[in-house]
Amino acid sequence: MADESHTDEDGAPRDPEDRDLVSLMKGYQDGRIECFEGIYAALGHQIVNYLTTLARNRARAEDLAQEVFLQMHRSRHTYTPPRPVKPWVFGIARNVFRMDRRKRGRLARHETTVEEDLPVFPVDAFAEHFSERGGLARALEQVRENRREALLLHFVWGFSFREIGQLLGISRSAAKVRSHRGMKDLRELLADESSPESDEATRGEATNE
Amino acid sequence: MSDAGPLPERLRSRIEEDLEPVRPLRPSWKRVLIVAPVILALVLGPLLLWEVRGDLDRLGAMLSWVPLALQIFLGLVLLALALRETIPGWHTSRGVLVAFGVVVVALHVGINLLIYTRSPTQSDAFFRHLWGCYRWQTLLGLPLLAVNACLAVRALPLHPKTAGFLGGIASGLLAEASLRLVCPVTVPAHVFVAHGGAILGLGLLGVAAGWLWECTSSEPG
Repeated sequence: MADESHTDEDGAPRDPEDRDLVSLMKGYQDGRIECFEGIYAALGHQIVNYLTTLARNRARAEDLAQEVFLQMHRSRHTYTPPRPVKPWVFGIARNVFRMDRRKRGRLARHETTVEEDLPVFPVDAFAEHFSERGGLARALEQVRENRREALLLHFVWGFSFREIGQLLGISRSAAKVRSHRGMKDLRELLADESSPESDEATRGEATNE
Repeated sequence: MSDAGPLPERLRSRIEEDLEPVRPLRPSWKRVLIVAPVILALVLGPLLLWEVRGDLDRLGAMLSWVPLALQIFLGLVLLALALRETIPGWHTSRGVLVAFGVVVVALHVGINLLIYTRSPTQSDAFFRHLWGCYRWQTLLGLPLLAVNACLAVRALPLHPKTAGFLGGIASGLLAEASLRLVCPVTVPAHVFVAHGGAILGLGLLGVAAGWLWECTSSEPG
């Protein structure tokens, strides 16, 4: 996923699906309900999944998703074509979650993600060989929150590191570092969980010290 | 990616209630350019109302009009950055904000120290001038802060305190740009406390405005 080729010289997305979203957004700004329906169909599930990773509760994520689309509607004039639509929508989603968390206090931090609430995560062959879904859930839980968010934004929802940086208020290189460290942590956690040989080796090293 | 399912009826009816066409906001730098004439009028107004300092010849253009132009430019750039913070998904990284902060401080300190070395003017009424300059610079900066706030709330300030701080610092810089050509006192203690203090004070006022906006807009619509 090369950051350099994500948008063209005018800032418009190169990906055909992203271009479709830009057209839908323009139609929505022109007052066409069918274009809003198209945006909802394309992004609704992604927004729910993203909010689930933040809120760690599917039901609450679905409620928040409704608020995201309402907020989108109230501020649809703030989207400037032909820029990519997803960073704009995810920025609103992130803010809706932050506002909700502020109201609820810090209770959300103690909730854990249940297996069914996980987004579909394209694990690579190494992780797929060693883990089942429950192991992936446990491992993701243990990855640091800011690394997990960058990791999922890049590998699940396809954001470039530049877009992740703009969404989170960090530099492009910081977004890349967080994502890569998150993936490294995840691999180590999955390997630790799934490998009895590594457990034996660990026990052996402890004996020899 | 799997489909989200049909659009919920409740959401559809809320959307259809006011689905009129809207015109997208222009990019932040264009919005600043549009209001630039108003900003310039506010900034340069003091030069018409008050007598400019008597040592302008001694300072020369490099230490008077050039810093004025530089500071106005920097103030407009910061204003554009503040407005960028009001567009979802378009947040400036902390590193860039810190870099701008360093530039602002360096410009303020550097130019004023150079002016002092060229024209070291004192004041017998130190505290009266201190309060007078702080007050007038803050009063000059308030309409500029209001312009920034009006532009910001037309968008969607997701980081209102950051946007407010940047807008406040921009307003303070713009107000100080012309006031420096009016205030005759160049002693660093006066400049950094009164003028620098007013810049910072407007920045903090911007943060307070952002915090207030956040509190009043946190209820779902």
